[in-house]
Amino acid sequence: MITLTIDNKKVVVEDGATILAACEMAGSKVPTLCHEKKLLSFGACRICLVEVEGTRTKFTPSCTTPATDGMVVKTMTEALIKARRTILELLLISHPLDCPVCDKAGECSLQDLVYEYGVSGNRFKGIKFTLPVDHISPLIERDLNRCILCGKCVRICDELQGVSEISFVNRGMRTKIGTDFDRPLDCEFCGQCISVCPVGALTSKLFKYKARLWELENIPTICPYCSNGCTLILGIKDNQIKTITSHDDIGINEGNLCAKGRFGYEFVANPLRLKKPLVKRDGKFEEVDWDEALGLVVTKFNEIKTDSGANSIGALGSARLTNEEIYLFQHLIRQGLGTNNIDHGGGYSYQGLIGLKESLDYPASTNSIHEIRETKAILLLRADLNETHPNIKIEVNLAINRHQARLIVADNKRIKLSANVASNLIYKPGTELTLINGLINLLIKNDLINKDFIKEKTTGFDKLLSCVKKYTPEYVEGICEVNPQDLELAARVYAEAEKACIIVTCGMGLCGNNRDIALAASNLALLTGNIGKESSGVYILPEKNNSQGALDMGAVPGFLPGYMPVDKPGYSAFQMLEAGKLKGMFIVGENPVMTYPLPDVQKALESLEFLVVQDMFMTPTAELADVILPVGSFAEKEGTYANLGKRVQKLKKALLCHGETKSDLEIFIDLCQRMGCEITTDNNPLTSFIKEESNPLTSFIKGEFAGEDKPWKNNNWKGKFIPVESDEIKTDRDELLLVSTGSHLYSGSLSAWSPHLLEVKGEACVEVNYKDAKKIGLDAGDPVKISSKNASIKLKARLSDNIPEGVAVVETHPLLNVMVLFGQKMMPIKGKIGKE
Amino acid sequence: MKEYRTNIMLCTGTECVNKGALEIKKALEEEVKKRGLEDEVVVIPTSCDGFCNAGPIMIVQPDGIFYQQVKVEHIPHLVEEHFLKGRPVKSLIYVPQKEAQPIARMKDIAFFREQRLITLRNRGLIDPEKIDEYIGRDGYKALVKVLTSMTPQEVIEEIKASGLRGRGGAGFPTGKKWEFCRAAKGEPKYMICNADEGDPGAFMDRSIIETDPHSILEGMVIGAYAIGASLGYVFIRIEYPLAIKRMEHAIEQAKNYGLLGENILGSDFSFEVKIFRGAGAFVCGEETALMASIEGRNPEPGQRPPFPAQSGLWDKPTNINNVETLANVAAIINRGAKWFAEIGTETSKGTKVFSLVGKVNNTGLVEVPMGITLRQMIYEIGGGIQNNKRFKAVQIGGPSGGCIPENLLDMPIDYEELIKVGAIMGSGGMIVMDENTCMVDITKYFLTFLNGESCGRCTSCRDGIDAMLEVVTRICEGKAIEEDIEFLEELAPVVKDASLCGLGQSAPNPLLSTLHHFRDEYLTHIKEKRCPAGVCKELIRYSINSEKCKACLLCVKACPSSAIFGEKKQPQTINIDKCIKCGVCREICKFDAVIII
Ligand SMILES: Cc1cc2nc3c(=O)[nH]c(=O)nc-3n(C[C@H](O)[C@H](O)[C@H](O)COP(=O)(O)O)c2cc1C
Ligand code: SF4
Ligand code: SF4
Ligand code: SF4
Ligand code: FES
Repeated sequence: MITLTIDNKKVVVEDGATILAACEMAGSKVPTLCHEKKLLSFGACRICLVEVEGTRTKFTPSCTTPATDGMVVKTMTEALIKARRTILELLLISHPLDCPVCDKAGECSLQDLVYEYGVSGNRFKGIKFTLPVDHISPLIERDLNRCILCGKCVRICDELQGVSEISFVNRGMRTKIGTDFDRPLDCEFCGQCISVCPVGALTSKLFKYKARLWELENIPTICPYCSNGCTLILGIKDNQIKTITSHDDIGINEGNLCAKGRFGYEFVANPLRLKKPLVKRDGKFEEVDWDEALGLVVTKFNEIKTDSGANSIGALGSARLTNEEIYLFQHLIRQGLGTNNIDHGGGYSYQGLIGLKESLDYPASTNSIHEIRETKAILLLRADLNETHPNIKIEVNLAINRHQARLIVADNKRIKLSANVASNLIYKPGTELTLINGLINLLIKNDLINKDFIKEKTTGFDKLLSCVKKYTPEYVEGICEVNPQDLELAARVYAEAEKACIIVTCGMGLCGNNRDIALAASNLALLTGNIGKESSGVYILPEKNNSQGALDMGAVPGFLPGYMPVDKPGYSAFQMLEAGKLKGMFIVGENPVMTYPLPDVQKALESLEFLVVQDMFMTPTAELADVILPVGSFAEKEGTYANLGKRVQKLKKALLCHGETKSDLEIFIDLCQRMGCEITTDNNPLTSFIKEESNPLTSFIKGEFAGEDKPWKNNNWKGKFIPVESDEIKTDRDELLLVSTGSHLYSGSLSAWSPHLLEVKGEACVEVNYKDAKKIGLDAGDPVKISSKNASIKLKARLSDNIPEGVAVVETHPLLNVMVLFGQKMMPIKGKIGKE
Repeated sequence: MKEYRTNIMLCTGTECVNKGALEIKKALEEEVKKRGLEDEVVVIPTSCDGFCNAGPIMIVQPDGIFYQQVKVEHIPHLVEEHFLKGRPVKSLIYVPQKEAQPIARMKDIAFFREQRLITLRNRGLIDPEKIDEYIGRDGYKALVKVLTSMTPQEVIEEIKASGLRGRGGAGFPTGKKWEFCRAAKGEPKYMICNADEGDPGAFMDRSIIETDPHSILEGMVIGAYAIGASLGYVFIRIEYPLAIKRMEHAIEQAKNYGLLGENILGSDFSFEVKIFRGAGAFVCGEETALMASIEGRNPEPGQRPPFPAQSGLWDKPTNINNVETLANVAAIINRGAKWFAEIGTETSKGTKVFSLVGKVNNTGLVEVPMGITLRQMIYEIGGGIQNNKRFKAVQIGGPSGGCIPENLLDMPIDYEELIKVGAIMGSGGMIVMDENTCMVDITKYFLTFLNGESCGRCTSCRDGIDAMLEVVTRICEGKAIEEDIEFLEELAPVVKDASLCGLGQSAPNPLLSTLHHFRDEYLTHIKEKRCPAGVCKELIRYSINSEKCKACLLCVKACPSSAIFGEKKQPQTINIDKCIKCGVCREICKFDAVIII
């Protein structure tokens, strides 16, 4: 600890704290322009100067200088004020004073400081404002004439995003922020650079001419996209979202957002949104009022129940619903309709969590998100974080850049993060289990396992031992096509680190056996003892904003809320969609026609007597419905989502209802009443039933509601080794191995309705290696037909070095079901590609 | 080694080579052979003698006859007269300005007489590519002494006692720097020799490396031993191919002799040296930028603390010394701290190498004891001002140095004294200016250079230099008002006090020193719209003095914009509207008839 005096006030700060941090603590306001808490200090703007007694130099930059014991600091002397004025004046020389048309006006640090320090017109003419404004890049407008060269954009793009799309070019007065050859941006479009720009040099194109910042009402809520659970700040005016921003001190994301979170809000105001309940009569949808629609739903389901039994009705929920909604939905299905036929996510997108439950009796990632940044080794196992969980990628970059963590990437292609790896394991698609068994074999052979830990904390080691015996490096090489040196290196990096994490992603668009992959990861962690302590554990990253909650709340055939087993499990999603199995279905927030890997979903749905679809848009699934119930978006409702760290976070209602829509929760409450299974609570079903003592949920999520992480910290746990193996998939010479991949910019259900995001992404493609393309005779952009034994589809070809030979990566597509290629098993599959 | 009757020490420094020294060598050797003198006379290529404007230079030893401006066609005559007949060739011997008699012996020439060679101790005396010649002149003796009889702490104490300060610019006490690095925790430690030398026109470091690369290596090894470094880098700019070659060669030889590498001279001390070729701007020589370069990052200065001694190259304790600093080390160890400390002034010990250029008669590289006066430098070593013009100012310290006026010429050269008058020691650039120099214009010149060299990272330096330049330019153009001086006086200190690295911190020096010493000249530009030195284009007019004009019409023909007119055989006149002020007429006129008003 360090004691120093700031403006005559004594403060105590931690070792290594900067003078600036100490000033903050002392309540002395020191202006800054280039300082950003989450970035490494840079010391460029020179506005944060202070005076330190007894130093050689007159001024000291407070943001870069560490505080030392006994320092005596002054932050507001005459000389400092004069110097700051001069610096501001210098910045103004080359700054166009176009505040009236600048989108940053009102929140511009430069404007604020100029005002505060009373800097008026300036005494230098300057040349300047000659840089062309970049109107071409999508989403982001760059007017570098306004840039004050604080370098924050460059640093965030490099330090956190790991993209380094922009950098300083030229020197001296000609210095500017640029891309190579001044081309338009071609990056992740996270907009992180916008978020840190203190002036209006980088702005959101979506916000242009929409409003002035001070007119906005800022409402923090939770992002509806991925399971990271970032806090978005909705800027509302006239009952519309005008922009989305973030705040460093609010939410798990520390102000970081990805492209979807920041720019993906247009779906909310999309004119194609459904506004009124619809009922199909003679093959045509007619608008009806809610009473009629809901009345019909109840009557019809009751009829089917009476005629064919409750088991002939099934329900699909969605991992996008709130905890409360899912809870009520399963209650409605179980208590109101009397069946356990409820599922979501195809019945497999959550299987990774199920795997962890089997192995650790804990169905969630074992550690909280921010622990990743402090770990020393990371194994990314089928985790292309840039595409699926961009803000977890930030954690990985922080670990590498600030904590010297070493990275192992195990994937079936080269991913962006492969650039900074210690060991890169590119395995043949579908051979994850073999690869991990190979690592386990090596660890055992090289005595890199933690024997005390295994003895004390695990069961089933013997079974594992006999299972992995045959997975010698040579055997693994034969199947995975990973060379033994790389494998050996990876084993060492992972096992020798004092703290290590394994990160696996799961979700609709990814093929592979999610449960088994999670088990394999868990086996590896248990073997080395890299689990159950700070910054060491297994992360299963589910796909959607409330994937964790959907499982916790029991939207599955086999568990009640809180993982209480049911007596007789219901049908799984795939079973429900076998034609003829059911008579009635209730589908909420899912679009199986477009996203399920089954070829005959449409037929199955068409064969139903009665289908209810609850959605925001007229999806291909909704087209088949008898009743469509239009719902509110995340911005129009309250409730909670559980993120992947099991942080339960509250949504805030920011907008009035869209048209005559109702929230899912309102609909479920109404239906429960109509079916005679309402939950008796006070008037606020949102919180009261969760808090209720008798509720099975309560013990499960107790204490989490405060919006804090609840990582797994339980001393009495024991892990179970559950060996897993898989069959080898053999391809013929003219066949390729097809795999699917999620694509960051659209998962489909929401982003597909946000036009600016689609503009960036362009068309979905199938990616193949140049050599394979040559063999097949493909050029980039060629339309191709891809066929497997299950189906064939058409996409455009993209050629890439990142894809190994013999593999074709099929991207998920918002307007086309590509998953049908893979079939029920959802494993990589052999197939052919031909020019159309 | 074979002994010869006569050694011809032929300078093969970069300047002399440019002027044909290698051809002269060939011609000499051929001629010597032709005359059958090859067993008596040998040609030894040496490195720069420093008296560059007299090059190509050769010194005939042992009698010390100094030949200058030698050309290939002189060789047959020279060999015949001097080496065969024993008669020095008068026409090739140096004749100082204002004197009629040639001065044959090097030690009698003022340019050399006032110098004191420590870092350049082997200049002209050894072949820099032969380690044996270095060893023959006590080379590596200090290293042996250090490794066999001194602890690292004793070495540090010795250097501290000598008072040696960094010659790279800032003048930080070298012994203290080593001590910090020695005390810092972290392994490995690095020793870097800074041979970036980015000052325009400076070539002292290049010259030292080319003259005597082993003296730097020896200094580095001793320093490395003192701080406990195991790896060293010599950072040489890529524009110095000869220096790089000599250094590479020296490292190779030293390794072969067991003076570098594992277990040096059989001790437990091991130290390796690599060369890093620096390519970049002036600011790359700044120590944090230099380390960034070696690490492969953008060569931009970084904030200190942490200082390199605590966390430098790859975050390990690192010591950076300038070439000249290191070249002193072995001499100090050999002759003792006391000997060194007796040279110089109270706070500045030893010698300093300067590159003396500008309007003096003798220009070149000189090593002088600290404390020598500017007057001695300019009038004795420099041989006075060219063409009998009046001295106006001397600019010291490289581009961000300061200008010192005539009334301060008797001040001794010393770190603190220079700072007092607004200049800095810098790396030792010394530019002498005569009455035809405009101090505002020269300030503009330095600011323009610095403006181009600012890395652009910090506001005060990037925008501050540009703003200073803008105002100074306004003054040169006669567009300024008196308040502009106030602006400058407000702005310059902020640039100095607020900037991140030494470039910005010293950039206002040229402005502040001229503003201080030559304020009237600024005011004349502003108030009278007149440039007293007749330099600032916007403020001068060319005119023809009709009394002097002989109507030769040379100027009429030369004027690129046909601005000169007049009757034949009559004095000519300049049309002000057409004149583009290129000054060609003034240069071409044989009768000094073109004048500036
Ligand atoms: C803009 C700038 C350029 C510099 N260039 C050089 C250089 O070319 N050579 C050098 O030795 N030091 C240079 N320095 C000084 C170095 O930063 C450093 O102080 C020096 O190498 C330390 O060695 P010394 O203690 O032996 O002087 C420069 C400093 C600045 C601010
Ligand atoms: S949008 Fe993101 S990736 Fe693109 S330049 Fe900005 S910070 Fe970098
Ligand atoms: S664009 Fe914005 S964030 Fe980037 S350097 Fe300029 S002012 Fe800073
Ligand atoms: S003072 Fe100038 S050269 Fe140094 S870091 Fe700042 S901008 Fe760059
Ligand atoms: S905030 Fe410290 S230099 Fe910019």
